[in-house]
Amino acid sequence: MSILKRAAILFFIFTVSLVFSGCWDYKEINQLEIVSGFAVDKDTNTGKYIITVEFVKPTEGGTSNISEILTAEGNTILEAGRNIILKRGTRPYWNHAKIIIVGKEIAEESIIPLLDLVYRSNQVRTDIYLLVSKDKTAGEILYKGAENQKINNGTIISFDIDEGFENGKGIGKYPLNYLFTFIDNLSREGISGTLPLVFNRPNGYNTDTIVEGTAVFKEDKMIGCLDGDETQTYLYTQGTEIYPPIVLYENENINGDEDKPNARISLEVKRYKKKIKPIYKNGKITIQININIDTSISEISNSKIDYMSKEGIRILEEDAKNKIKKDINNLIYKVQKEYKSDIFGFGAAIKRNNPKLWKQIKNDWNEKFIGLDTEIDVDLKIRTSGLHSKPLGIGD
Amino acid sequence: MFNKSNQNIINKTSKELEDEIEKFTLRKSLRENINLFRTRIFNDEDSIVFRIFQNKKSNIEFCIIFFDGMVESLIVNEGIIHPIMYGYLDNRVDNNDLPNYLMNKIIDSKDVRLTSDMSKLIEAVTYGDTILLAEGSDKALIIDTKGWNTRALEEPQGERVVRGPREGFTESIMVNLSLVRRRIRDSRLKTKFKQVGARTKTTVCIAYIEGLANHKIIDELQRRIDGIDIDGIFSSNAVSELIRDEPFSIFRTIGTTERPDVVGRKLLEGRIAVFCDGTPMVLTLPYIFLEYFQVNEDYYDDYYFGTFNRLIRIIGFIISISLPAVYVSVVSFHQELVPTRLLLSIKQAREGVPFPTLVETILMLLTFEVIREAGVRLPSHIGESVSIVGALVLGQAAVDARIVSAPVLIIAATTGITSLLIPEILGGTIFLRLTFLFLASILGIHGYMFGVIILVVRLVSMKSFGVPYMLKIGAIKPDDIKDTIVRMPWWTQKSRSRFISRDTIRQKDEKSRRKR
Repeated sequence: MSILKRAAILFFIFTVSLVFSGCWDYKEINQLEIVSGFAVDKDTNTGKYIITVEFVKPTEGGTSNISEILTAEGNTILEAGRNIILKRGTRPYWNHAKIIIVGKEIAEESIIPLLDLVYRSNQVRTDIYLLVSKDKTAGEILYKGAENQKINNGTIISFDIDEGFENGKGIGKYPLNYLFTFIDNLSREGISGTLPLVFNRPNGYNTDTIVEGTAVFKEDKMIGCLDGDETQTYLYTQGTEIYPPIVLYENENINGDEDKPNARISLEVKRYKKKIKPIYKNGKITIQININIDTSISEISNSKIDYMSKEGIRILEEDAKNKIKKDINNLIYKVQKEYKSDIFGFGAAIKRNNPKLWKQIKNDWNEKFIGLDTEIDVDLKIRTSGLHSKPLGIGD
Repeated sequence: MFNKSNQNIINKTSKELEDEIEKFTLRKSLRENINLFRTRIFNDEDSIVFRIFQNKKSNIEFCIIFFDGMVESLIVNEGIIHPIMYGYLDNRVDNNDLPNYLMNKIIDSKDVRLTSDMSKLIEAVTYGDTILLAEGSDKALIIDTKGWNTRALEEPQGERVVRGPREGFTESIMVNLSLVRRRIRDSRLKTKFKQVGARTKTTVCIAYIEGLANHKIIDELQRRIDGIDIDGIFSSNAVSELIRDEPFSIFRTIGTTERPDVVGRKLLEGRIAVFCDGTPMVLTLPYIFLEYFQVNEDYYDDYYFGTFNRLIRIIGFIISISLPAVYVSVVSFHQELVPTRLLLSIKQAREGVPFPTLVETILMLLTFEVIREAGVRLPSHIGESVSIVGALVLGQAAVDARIVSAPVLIIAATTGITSLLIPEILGGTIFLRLTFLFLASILGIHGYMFGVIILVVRLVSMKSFGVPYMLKIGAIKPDDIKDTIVRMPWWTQKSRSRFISRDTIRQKDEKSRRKR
């Protein structure tokens, strides 16, 4: 066979196999209905799932994006998601969804069906954020939020919430877990999952969509909430890279009027380390929590005490230590008594440090956790005082 | 209208004409000889000059034959006619000795040859030499009187440098060789001349440095040049195409340059240069892939700046062949790979555009190539207006009219500009870019990856005169990469490439260098 003939045949085979087999997985970008986030609820009467999806739609002329919200029902979550096609005509494109809001009913009943679907799917990413709705339904958070955004000429509510998470490190009023860390925590022994709470708060004529607080899970069911301040304390035991400021009131420890604090001081956390260590002695387990914090003074309002002196700094350090210690103690007590859920990961710490012991106590860990003794040791240092060494003085 | 002999010649084929010329021989009679040239060989030719004159004393008749305009008049007048007219010619000189006598004692010229070979005589006349015929002799003298006009030495347009020599080759092979010889004053710089082309008889010269260049390569090169059978050669590219390895590849296996400094550098690396008369482009071989990225400016700048520029060129090449393919595959197959914000802005930009992304991209790429091709050979002031209309008006209008989306315009512009970083590889870049684009439009990023794999396999399997085109990537040593993707300082470049040169020692060791 001549080279020419051979080349012609090769060319023919290539052309036929490439051109006539069509374009695998080909979809033009402007045919996509990009989903920015969705909420899943369950109708307790009919037992049907309700999915509320926020789509990103370019405005006329393509200068900016607005959101469009659609709802559909179905016997399973997937069916509900597919039923969106009935309303929109095209298939939602889930890959760029940033948040999933879980309705309270689902969270309290079991979050597993939703997680299973999402974790199996090759469309929804696992670095998506899960939130639990504190309001009645999850859908109304998206609806109201989007409505409000429209009035204020804002953009996409799901993206706004997602962006808020990026900056959430400095505030620490909600736990920040990707979907995969949450699933990881659910399936691990000796630790329970937590999710942030989201709700709409009326603000004059508008409503603000607020993410604050923690939904506490026991196994796959939500059993209660922590508020924002408790969440800050909770995060100190978790050692994530979230550094909420420490706020001290002068009257708390220094003789003063209870109602009128003399001064308020905030400390900024610069460096932070924690260590959870179980100690097993005489058949009794004690959890030692060591916390190491380096702070700097970031704000001192007018005060008679000179906090820049060695003595003043010692007082501040002592105050802060006690405050953190007290808060953590209170929180552990509350969780032990009210929720009975090991959100701190004490069990996991025991398993890591003393696997043999863990095997023995694994089965009645729930009861053991409630009666667990904890020892909290806070080592707090004030390293710098910002750019100034003295409070601003007022001259005459 | 035609006389008889003319009619005869016109009816003959060129083969018969050639055979006839071989049959001609010189006679003793000058008249007969002149007649032979005038009516049989250069018949019907008006620009040839027959000048018949006599020696003053002995009245021996002479005739010089040359082409008007190709000879240096001064040499013909002062070096040939004047000495013969007024020279002392003894009647006693034997007719057979006369040409020798003239050559040795009369003619003022640096290059005179005695011959009776008809084809040599004809060739000499057509190459600007003058032949001298004498009464009573059946031999003729060829006197070197070449004197046509050549272009002055200019900086090559295609290979400008900011800081570096600005001389470029011209169309004259001897001038070109002199430019190189002036740079390498070494008796071991050897040149071998050959003639290529049955009709053009173009002089081709192989230059190399004895001891550095590989003899196997030289022999192979000579064999290939000898094997060329073609009627005419007007550019060295024709020679290159006729003798190169991998004739179907889009990549060159023989380099070209217009700069004597580049040729000098490559000769010193153990490479071989092929000069070709009538063209300023000189071939260098063996040629490896990395030479595309080695621009001579690198050697004239700081080594870190040179290295940076080289990296820019390599990255630019990769961007230039990949960007449209990656864009199309990402936008029409793998939207999950794009960051959300970028995806949304691409989506916004695509809103209202009627064509698929592939069509859009091809449209813009072709538009760019059309504008480039339109502007290349135009006078610069017209070329500028072409590029203004093309780039500004057309691009902007196309986006405004929603025929293409803005990102595609950016892609086309980026690939266009990066492809101009290395003009030598431009053809290959455009070909690869379109191939990758088609593959990507069918299979997404997988198609693009297939393309890249095939390209790499192809490149690695190529050879240029026995030298691996990509060097042996698997067996590379630190010494081999000193002048590849980086340009190391001169003091570290102690050796030549062991793949090319026989003698790899370029500098003696560090210590003796310092002592000097």
